[in-house]
Amino acid sequence: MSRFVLRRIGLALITLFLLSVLVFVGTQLLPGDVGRRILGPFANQEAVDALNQRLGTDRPVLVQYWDWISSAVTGDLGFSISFSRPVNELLGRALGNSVKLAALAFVIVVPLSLAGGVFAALRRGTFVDRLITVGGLSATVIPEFVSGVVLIVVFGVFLGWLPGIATAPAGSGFLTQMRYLILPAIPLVLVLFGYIARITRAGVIEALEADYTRTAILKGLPRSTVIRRDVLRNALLPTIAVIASQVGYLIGGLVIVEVLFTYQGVGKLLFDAARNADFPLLAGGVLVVGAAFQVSMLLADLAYSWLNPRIRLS
Amino acid sequence: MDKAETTASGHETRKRSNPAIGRSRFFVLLVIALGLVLAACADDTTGTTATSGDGEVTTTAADGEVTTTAADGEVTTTTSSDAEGTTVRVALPTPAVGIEPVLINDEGGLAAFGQAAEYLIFSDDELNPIPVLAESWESNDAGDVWTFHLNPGATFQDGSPVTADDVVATVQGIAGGNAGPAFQTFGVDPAQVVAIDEQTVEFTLTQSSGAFPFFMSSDNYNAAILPASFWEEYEEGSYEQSFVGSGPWVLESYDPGVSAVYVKNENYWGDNSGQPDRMEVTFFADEAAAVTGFLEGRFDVIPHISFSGATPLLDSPDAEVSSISTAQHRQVYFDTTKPPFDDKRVRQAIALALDRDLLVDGLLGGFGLVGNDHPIWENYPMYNSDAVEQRTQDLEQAQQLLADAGYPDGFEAPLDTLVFFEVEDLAQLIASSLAPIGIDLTVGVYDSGTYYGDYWLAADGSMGIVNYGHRGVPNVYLGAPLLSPERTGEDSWNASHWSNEEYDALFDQFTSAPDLETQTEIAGEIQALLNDEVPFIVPYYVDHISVTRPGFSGLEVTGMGHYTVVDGSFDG
Repeated sequence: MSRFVLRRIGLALITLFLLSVLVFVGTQLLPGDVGRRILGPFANQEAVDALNQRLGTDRPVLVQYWDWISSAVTGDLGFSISFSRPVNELLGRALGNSVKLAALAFVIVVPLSLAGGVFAALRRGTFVDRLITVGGLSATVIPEFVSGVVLIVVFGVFLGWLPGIATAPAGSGFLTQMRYLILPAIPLVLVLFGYIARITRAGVIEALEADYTRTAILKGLPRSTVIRRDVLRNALLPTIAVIASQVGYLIGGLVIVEVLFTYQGVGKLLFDAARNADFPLLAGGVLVVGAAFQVSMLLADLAYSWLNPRIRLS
Repeated sequence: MDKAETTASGHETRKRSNPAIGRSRFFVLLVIALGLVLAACADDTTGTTATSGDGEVTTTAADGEVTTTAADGEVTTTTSSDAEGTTVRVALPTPAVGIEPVLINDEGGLAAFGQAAEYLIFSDDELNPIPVLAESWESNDAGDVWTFHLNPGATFQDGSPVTADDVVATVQGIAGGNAGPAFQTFGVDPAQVVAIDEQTVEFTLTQSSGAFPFFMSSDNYNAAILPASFWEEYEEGSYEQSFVGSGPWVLESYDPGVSAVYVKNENYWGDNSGQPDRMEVTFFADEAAAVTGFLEGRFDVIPHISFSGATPLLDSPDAEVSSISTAQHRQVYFDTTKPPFDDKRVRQAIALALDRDLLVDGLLGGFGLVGNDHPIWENYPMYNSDAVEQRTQDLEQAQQLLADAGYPDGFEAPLDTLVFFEVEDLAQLIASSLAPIGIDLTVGVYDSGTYYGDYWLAADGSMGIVNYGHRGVPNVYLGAPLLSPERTGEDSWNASHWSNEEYDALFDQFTSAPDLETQTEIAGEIQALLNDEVPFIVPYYVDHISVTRPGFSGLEVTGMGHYTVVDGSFDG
């Protein structure tokens, strides 16, 4: 197990390194130089050149990259060009925000989709089953910006039930912040519900049809015991792995939702960084998101291994 | 499928109505999930909830926010005037860069900066230079030495006086080695800015300028006066730690790209007795989000919004939309160095093909003034109303001019522009307006970086559209965008590449005119020359639109994008 973990960590570090190179190359392809973007099109060239010199963005690309990566390995992700703040500070705050949104979405979607999936499996072929599977699949394919806009217009503007701007007023308490996050969490729930519910449903159906379930029933065990001990325990294994693998998406993949609901999470911060050609912030953000994905995938593998003794990681 | 498998299948389970895992268990799970959602919905309100006889529910949150839910479900949120005092909530565009005195170059940045910091002079919405930190100023006869006398009562937030040394340090900080924007172009040599005494500063300019006070006003939004001690320890990012200044607001908290909270400066040297106690600013990357927040009752003020953004609010009883006329305009330029645009008859023909009233009504909802192909806005004091007649649509004359120029059947050309408010629609309308006279334009719309990097100043035989923001005097419009490129060199903004010696001479006369009468006379000549030569078309000037909550008064805005709520108050 420890060898497996070490190997995965090693591969993750290589992935993150390649990711940083890709981001760096990508930012070099953006039109216009950094000084010009910061000072605007009407600043004179002398001022732009002076700013580029001060920021170090006039140096050779490899020198810039080496400077950045050598600091990054010590945990210092540099200084944001557009926000004039340390990247660590900006990312730390944004990561906290993203985790709040992800946690709320998880708290809503996991029980709902597990219950929905199990219920659909036990009612296979009925209207409820089709409602959950087809409805879930339909919800999954609705882009977040579509469902998000509808939610803002209906619940934020017309009904006024919930805030359509996810940023709570400064100094708000935890519960107030959660209230502001309900609407942005719903598009995420819609995206994930169908996926998790279908995986759950398939797992439960497979377990219901398995020999051990048949044997347990024929032994005369109460049905509730069979479902709880034999069916669910086996059926939820792949589901748990799928859920764990979504953590990365929920933390770093919410660019559209965060921009739409004006929420300063990692996704929106990355969007701002890309718009401003802010390489230190963009690269730092991508590394954090990449790390979140890697960690979530590793946790998914470990959880699967722990829950299923048949899997031996080495 | 044998009997046992059938028995174990989900299908069979359904028929047995599943006594083990019944509906109730799953409903319990659902209830738990819903319970968590509801728990999250619950506000950490420490105030009171009251229900009136007519079904209206009023909730007062700990932060002073009062939410009223009427019997018909309508929810309104207002700000209370309780023990914490009055709060005004403002929506601003996200600053493009950090709140850095040296780097600010956009509306969100200058608006946030301008709450805690002040200028020598404030250029108001009627182009009046209002004394602020400078109580008076004068120049020598040549207009190249300007002396500013500071207000002796002015102090920074910590109570220390605003002195001439602070002004000198600020100018040197901005125009010196810190790579400030266009500040250098105003004829300021930082080494020639000296403190005569504690209250007097003298600027010796590299060129004479009758409008120099405007360049040291809020029009030059980087030029807010900050303490010399700040500049001594200046480093990137340091301003955001303090928002130091002499203004009526003191920073309480700043979250980059998210929000800024200010509280009333109780030690303000001026009169801010009627000012709200607190101002909460929320930044928005997207105008639509600000409008949504306003409709939800989240904001009291949106200091600047486009016509399209304001459209959902125009008929709303919960919004008051107001506007001021500004000099902000779009310039539709031509590459005058290449055919067909090297012939002024072609440029005139295109100018004649546009229905400007239709553009103002259709694109701006009437929130604008028609332009006459020169950038001297009709509200400038030197505007010469007798100089040239307003150009109006005349397709017959346009076709005749094209034929005279050798293009009786028209031609094809690219029209490049950027994503910016209504500009993309303007480009499409220009293309459709020119189709009847045989000109086939291919519209290219790019993001700001691509447009300014690859298209704006390119000598590629194209047309283009660029925006110029409001200025208190037209010198900026008349300088870099119109002076001969060989004269301005790398600092040229002359997208038309138009070069005209007569114009260059008129510009020099305009900027050094000793009095308004002379300047008006020269302005008339410039207006006539530009209207005839058409290096670019000015189709219209754009109004500055603001939105406030009904009952809130006291918002003051400028065409530049500054706003103040020093006299702001809520009715009742």
